[in-house]
Amino acid sequence: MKFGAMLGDITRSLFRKPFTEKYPFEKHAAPDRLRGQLTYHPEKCTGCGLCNKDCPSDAIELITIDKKAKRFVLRYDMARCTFCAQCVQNCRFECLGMSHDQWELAALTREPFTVYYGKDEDVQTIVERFAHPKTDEPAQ
Amino acid sequence: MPENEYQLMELTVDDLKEMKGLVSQRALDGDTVLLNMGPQHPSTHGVLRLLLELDGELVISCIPDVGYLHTGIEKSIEDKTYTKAIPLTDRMDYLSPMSNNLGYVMAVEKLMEVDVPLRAQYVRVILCELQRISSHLVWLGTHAIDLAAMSVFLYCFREREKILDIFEMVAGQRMMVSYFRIGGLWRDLPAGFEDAVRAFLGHFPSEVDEYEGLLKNNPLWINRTQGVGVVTAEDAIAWGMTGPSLRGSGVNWDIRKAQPYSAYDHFEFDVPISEAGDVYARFWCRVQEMRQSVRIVEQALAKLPKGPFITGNRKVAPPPKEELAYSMESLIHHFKLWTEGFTPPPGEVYVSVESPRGEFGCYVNSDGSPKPRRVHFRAPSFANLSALPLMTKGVFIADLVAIIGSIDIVLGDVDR
Ligand code: SF4
Ligand code: SF4
Repeated sequence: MKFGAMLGDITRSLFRKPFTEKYPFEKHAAPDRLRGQLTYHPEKCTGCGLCNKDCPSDAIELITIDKKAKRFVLRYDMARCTFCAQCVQNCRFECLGMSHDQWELAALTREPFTVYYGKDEDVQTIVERFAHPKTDEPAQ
Repeated sequence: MPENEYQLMELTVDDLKEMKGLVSQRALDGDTVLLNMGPQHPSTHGVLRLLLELDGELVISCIPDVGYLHTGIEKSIEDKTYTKAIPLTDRMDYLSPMSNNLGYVMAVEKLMEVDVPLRAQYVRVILCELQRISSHLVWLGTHAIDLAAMSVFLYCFREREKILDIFEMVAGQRMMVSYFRIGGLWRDLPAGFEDAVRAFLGHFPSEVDEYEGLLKNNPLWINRTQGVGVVTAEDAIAWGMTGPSLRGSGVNWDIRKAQPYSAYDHFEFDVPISEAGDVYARFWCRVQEMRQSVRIVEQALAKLPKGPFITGNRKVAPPPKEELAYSMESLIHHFKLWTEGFTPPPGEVYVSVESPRGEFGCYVNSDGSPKPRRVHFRAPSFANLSALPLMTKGVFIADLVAIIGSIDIVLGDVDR
């Protein structure tokens, strides 16, 4: 590279905006298709369990409290999830989706990675059942 | 010097016996030094351990020791249905997941005798070529930084970032894309894809010129690379080297030309070949390949056909969700595919694709059940790495670093 070309390059680079972003302060807008955290809308779920069966990494478990009353809880283990979106593709009631803005999923402990989705009282039942495994009576 | 700062390893009699076939008698007598390089050494590009036998600065022998990144992916696939295995293939050669996906899905497609729509084939070509550019950029950057050219590294990563942004837009992930499905693609291309790729292609060729110019006219670079790590064409073939490492030795062998797959025969491109067989030749081939990839992507974009992005064969591809509302047959296919998976006829296939590193082959053996009996990947990095002892006979330690860089290995690919 000639000396003159180098000077030109230096001047240009001096006034150019940096390519990097100041990450925690400025966030890159993620595209719509980004496969971030799994989302679940229990209203339409029929409890068919296909998502459960199809997950390559056993990251989701569908717990049925009452099939007739459509009370389901989806336990999602984010630490196991490979974010492949196969569960989203197979749910024919479109209950599952992958969020494109929830992608900052790092945590210091394992607890935040287990997420329960469902109606509040159902989740409560399940969490309690896990907390006291001996008093294991299905809530009716 | 405090006593505990340097400790020489005491060899036991058993150790010596084990090493007898590996190192020369001089090392056992203590005339030469045995040195452990890696697995945590930045210039080994991952977790590669090299056992070096040194006479001063000269490498007498070099024994690569792999297995530090063993993931058991081949074995895990045996326990998954064919569709479920796709995300695993991303994770082998993590610098070229698109090529891995392609090799695997093409093998299963061959087993199932499925035709892939032309649009899907073109999109696969576009993405694989972009992947080749991004992989070569990582290689160029890290190779240059090994030889102390820092700025090239930063420039290359800047450009690669733009490709990863395109992947994120298409597949939803930057590296673990899982975009190809058996029979086609996960989804169609998003709006704005073509513009994004054209914008990238618009300025990228001049960037390649710049990076190449930074290195090829640099006397330090030339001294460090020319005449170093020479492999002859016969040796390269005998050791099973493929990809740019083979073409750097003057062998005209590129799977894209020799056994065209996925519509590669619809495009015009050249296969760069260099006769010298040294580090510089391999560098030159890869840089030229980036230019050829640009050519291929441009042609594929210009000719991109319209049409379906996944096969209509319901035996392998799930029906679109709208269809489930009215078609009982689709519903049955849907349930069958997602609960049990499809069952290929018993048999075996081998399909190879040209990944950025060389011939990436996928062998699938089916016993007629929904899960493969055996899947094996022919990893280009593994074969190229096995030729390392040959190239490093009698070189300086500093040149060893240049040679490791020049064969462009990814340890995830080596160990699978
Ligand atoms: S696939 Fe959909 S409908 Fe079926 S259990 Fe899962 S979330 Fe519910
Ligand atoms: S995205 Fe993939 S790994 Fe994650 S829960 Fe869904 S199917 Fe399982």
